[in-house]
Amino acid sequence: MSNKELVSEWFYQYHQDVYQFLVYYTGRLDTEDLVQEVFIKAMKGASRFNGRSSVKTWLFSIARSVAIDQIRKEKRRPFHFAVPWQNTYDLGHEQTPEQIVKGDESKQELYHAIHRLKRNYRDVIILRAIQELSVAETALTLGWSNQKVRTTYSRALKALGKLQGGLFDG
Amino acid sequence: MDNQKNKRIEKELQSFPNQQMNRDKAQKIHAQLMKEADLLDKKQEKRIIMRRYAIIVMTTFAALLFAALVILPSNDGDEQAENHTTFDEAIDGSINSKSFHSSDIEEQPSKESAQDTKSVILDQADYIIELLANQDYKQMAEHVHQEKGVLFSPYVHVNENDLIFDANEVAAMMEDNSQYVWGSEDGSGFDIELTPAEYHEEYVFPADFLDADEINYDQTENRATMKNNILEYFPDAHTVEYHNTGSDAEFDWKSLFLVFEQNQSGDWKLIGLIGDRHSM
Repeated sequence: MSNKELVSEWFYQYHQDVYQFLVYYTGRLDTEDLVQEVFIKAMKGASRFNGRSSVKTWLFSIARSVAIDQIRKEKRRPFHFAVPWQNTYDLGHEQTPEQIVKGDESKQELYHAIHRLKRNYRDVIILRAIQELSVAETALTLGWSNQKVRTTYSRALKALGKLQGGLFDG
Repeated sequence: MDNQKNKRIEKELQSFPNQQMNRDKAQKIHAQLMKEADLLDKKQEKRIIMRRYAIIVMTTFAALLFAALVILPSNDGDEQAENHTTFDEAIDGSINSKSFHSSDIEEQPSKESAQDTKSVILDQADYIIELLANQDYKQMAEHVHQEKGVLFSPYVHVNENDLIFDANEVAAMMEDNSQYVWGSEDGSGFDIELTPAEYHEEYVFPADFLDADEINYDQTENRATMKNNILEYFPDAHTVEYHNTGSDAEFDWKSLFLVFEQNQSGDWKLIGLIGDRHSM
């Protein structure tokens, strides 16, 4: 299969998934350039893809690296999400939670909280809960064991609960 | 209690709105990707044509050389024909004098060679691992296949884009400060752009292979999702894998494959240094 056919097939199948992941990961709605970068990198690395189990998890792992790189470039500091959420909007292009999750206040609060989590918690929350990848798919994307995905996911949900105070206490 | 709370949070996260890329923008990106893919396809096609051309030229040259050395002298007259006879007789004589039978000549070396080859290659691999541990590429260059050079691949799916250094280049590698692109990083797809010394640290000797947990001969099963094609790519080669298990939970195991092939004198020489690690 030529690069043209390959990348076309991958793009039609997964561009929305990759776009959504990048929006939630970077906090920006204008991630189209990053989507393009993901597929170009995938195409150039296609010879390395042979025999892998899943195009989808491979694309997500590229998207995650592209997003992290982009965040570094923009902020010129290692982990901009470590900056208190209230300050991140002053730094650059992030949309407000109202623009990303629209309307619902509890979702907006939750969205804040995700970006205050440490990186591996944020990774697993976005992949498992928002993108709804399976445990095995998340493990492949992040290069973790299934067990590590399960325990980190459970801890990440707990950490989100703490940040939300009594909001989800029932 | 915690479980119920986690479930509620999970449910809320799952109901986050779907983010849809604008259709026009998606089409523009697709068009741009098609342009990039077209360029890449053409580049690859050109590389294949150049390679075929090189093979044709080399084959023709070899055929002409063969004709010049063997076919032409045989038509040169009686004197040389007589020499040939004498030479053939001498060979026959020497075989007869040692009481060799044709079956001995065909079978004995191949029976011995499987065992011998393995032990020769394993010894040589151990020696090279010590040289690599000391970054002694000068000494290692003496073990490099003169005609083929050494292919460096960061991962076990070897392909035609992997870099090949000849023996002279290998000898000078640690003093070479040029940046090379060694392939693309698994997962991110970023170019692996490093000097040879940096590449050595990160991909050739990223673990202490002097103290390997396993040393495997001709074992090239896939350890991760990436297909190990070393023995398909080098069908006449033998491999020695140095494997460090790391800690299972973090998937930080590392391997280095040393690949050997025979030169024209029958010596086993290094033709590949290939890394392996967890792949996405």
